[in-house]
Amino acid sequence: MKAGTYDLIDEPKPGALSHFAVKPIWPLLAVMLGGAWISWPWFVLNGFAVGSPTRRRELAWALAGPLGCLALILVLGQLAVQGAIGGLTLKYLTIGVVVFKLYVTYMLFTLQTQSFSLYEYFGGQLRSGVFPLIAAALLRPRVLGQMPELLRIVLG
Amino acid sequence: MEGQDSGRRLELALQLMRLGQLDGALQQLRMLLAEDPDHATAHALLAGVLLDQHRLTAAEHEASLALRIEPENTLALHTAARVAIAQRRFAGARLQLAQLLAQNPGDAEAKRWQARVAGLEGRREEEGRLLNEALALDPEDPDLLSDLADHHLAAGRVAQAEEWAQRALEMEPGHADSLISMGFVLLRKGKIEEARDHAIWALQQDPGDRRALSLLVACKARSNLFLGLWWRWSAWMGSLGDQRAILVLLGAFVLYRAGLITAEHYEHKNLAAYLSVLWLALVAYTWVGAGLFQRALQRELRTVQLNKDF
Repeated sequence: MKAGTYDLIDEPKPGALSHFAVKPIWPLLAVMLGGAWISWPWFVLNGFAVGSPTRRRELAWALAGPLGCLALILVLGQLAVQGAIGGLTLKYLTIGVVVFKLYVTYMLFTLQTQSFSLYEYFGGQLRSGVFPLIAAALLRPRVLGQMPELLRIVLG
Repeated sequence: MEGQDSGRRLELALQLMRLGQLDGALQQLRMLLAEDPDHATAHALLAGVLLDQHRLTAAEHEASLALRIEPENTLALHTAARVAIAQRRFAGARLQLAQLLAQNPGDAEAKRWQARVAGLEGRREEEGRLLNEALALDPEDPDLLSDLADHHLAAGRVAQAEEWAQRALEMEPGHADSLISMGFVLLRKGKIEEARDHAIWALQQDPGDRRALSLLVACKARSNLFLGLWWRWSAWMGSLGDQRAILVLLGAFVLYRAGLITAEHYEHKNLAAYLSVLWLALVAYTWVGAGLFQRALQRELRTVQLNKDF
């Protein structure tokens, strides 16, 4: 951020996409109102936009999110097909999928928060994320409606 | 010539740090390191500045660079231990503090930080023993006396805490940590206005002093039930660290969803409705509370005036 001096590892290095950057609270809200399909890619775009020093870890979490959800659903489905679980137990265990999604989202939010505080501290400008958030909430039924059921659960 | 420049920059950075001008100190150290990237002391000092700015990842990186260049650098070991404590990596902090004491068994500061680790891990008796050992090494250190005050206060021994805080202030009347320790003692005794004056005095020395802000907030919270509850919740969550705080929130969510599923399964419609309302209230409170609390604190900081008799 400041030229001609020693670089510090936690300082963001904004690139050409920096004018798309929003506060990490907006993608966090997007997981609740829009779904993971919009929230996780938004976090990744945001991280790369300001050159967040943790952007690769953020990308790894954003990839681990759908893969982890898919694995959980497949395991639960297999157990249910085999008759090992069912009824109330299955309902309880499905909470795990939602919790995993929220965990990934909170991790992304926590990773990005400090980079964005520094970005703002050094005069970086952030946009409001309210319009993309409203759009995500409005598009939610249409986007998820076009997905196969498994993908809808993973990215919903 | 270059060595002289480095020396001057280092001296200037130290002066700025003492004045609480962390940004200025940071700039000097960055310029020094741009010229001499293998200056272990500059890396260690930079780690200290970053730690004071709560930039823990960068502080950890700089402290480890300092130790890679000079593995026995006392300042680097001290800073690395303090960073590890701030990151709640207590095992790492213990190792660095043990190394410091192996290098110099009379290092009272290292003992004090060992006591801090013991306290944070809930080993209160060991904390007291280590603080007394440190006191034997340096009986006039106000930091140590103030830590002893905090130790006794945490154990509920208010009179002893007051005695130690008083001793610390006699040793150095304007010592910020001791003023804050005394402030917490006064708060415990119900003397909210006096406690507030202590916080303000410390904040006048360093407006970014986190403990002073905590004391001021605690005073504010004592006079307002809504904010008081929020303060306790927020302080508890803050003490857990990011990872554990996330797990607590997710645990609460699991309890809510499991309760809801159970209530619906057994057709307890009222229970399901109560749970939903309770959850909504919790979400709203934690959402709105943060904003209200911040606004109240900002208002407090704008209007603070020290009591004339202080």
